[in-house]
Amino acid sequence: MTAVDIAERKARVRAFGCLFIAALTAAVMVAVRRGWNSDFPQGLWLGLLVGSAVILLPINRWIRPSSPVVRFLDDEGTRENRRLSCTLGFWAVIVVALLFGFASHFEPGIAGEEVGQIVATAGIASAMVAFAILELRAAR
Amino acid sequence: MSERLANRIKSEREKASLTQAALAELVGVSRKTINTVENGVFTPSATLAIKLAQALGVSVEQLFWIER
Repeated sequence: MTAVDIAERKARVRAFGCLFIAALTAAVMVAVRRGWNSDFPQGLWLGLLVGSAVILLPINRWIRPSSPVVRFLDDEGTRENRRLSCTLGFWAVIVVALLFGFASHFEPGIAGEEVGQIVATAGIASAMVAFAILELRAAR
Repeated sequence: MSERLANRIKSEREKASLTQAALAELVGVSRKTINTVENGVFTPSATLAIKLAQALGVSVEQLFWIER
C-alpha cells in the first residue's frame, strides 16, 4: 500500500470522524441546554469543541512536516477545503449571532452562556460538516 | 463574462498510462486533489500546475487553458 493509498484511507476516516464529532457536539450541546447541566457534559462539550478546532487546523503538518503520508493528507486540495469550511463556519457564526441579537428583543432573558454555547457549536459543527462533505466529494 | 480554467489532464494522464493515484504520487498531492483538478472543481496553484505539466511531459499551456 502506497503513501497515497494510506493518506486516502485516513482522509476518508477523518471525514466520517468530522461528521460524527459535529453531530456529537451538537447533541451534547442540546442535552446541556435541556437540563443535563453538570460538570461532565459541560466539559465534554468543551472538549469536543476544542477537538473539532484542532481537526480543522493542519496540526499534523506542523508536527510532522516531513512525513509523506501527512504531506498527502494535508495537500493543497485539503488546504482549500479547510479554508472553505472555516469560511462557512464563520458565516454560520455571524448568522446565528445576528439571530440571537434579533431574538433578544422578544426574549431578553437569554443567558450569555447559552448564546455562547449555541453560537460556538453552530460555527464549529457547520465547518466540520462542510469539511467532511468537501473531502468526501473530492474523493469520489 | 465568466472564465474557468479548463484542462486536459485526464487525456494526457491516460496517454501516459498513469492512474490518478500514480500521478498524485509523482506530483506529491493526494488522489482527491488530482480528481478535483481533473474535474475542474479545484483550481490548482501555479506550483501544482507546473508539477503536473512536468509529470505529464507537456507544457502548462498545453495542459491548462482559459475557457470563456
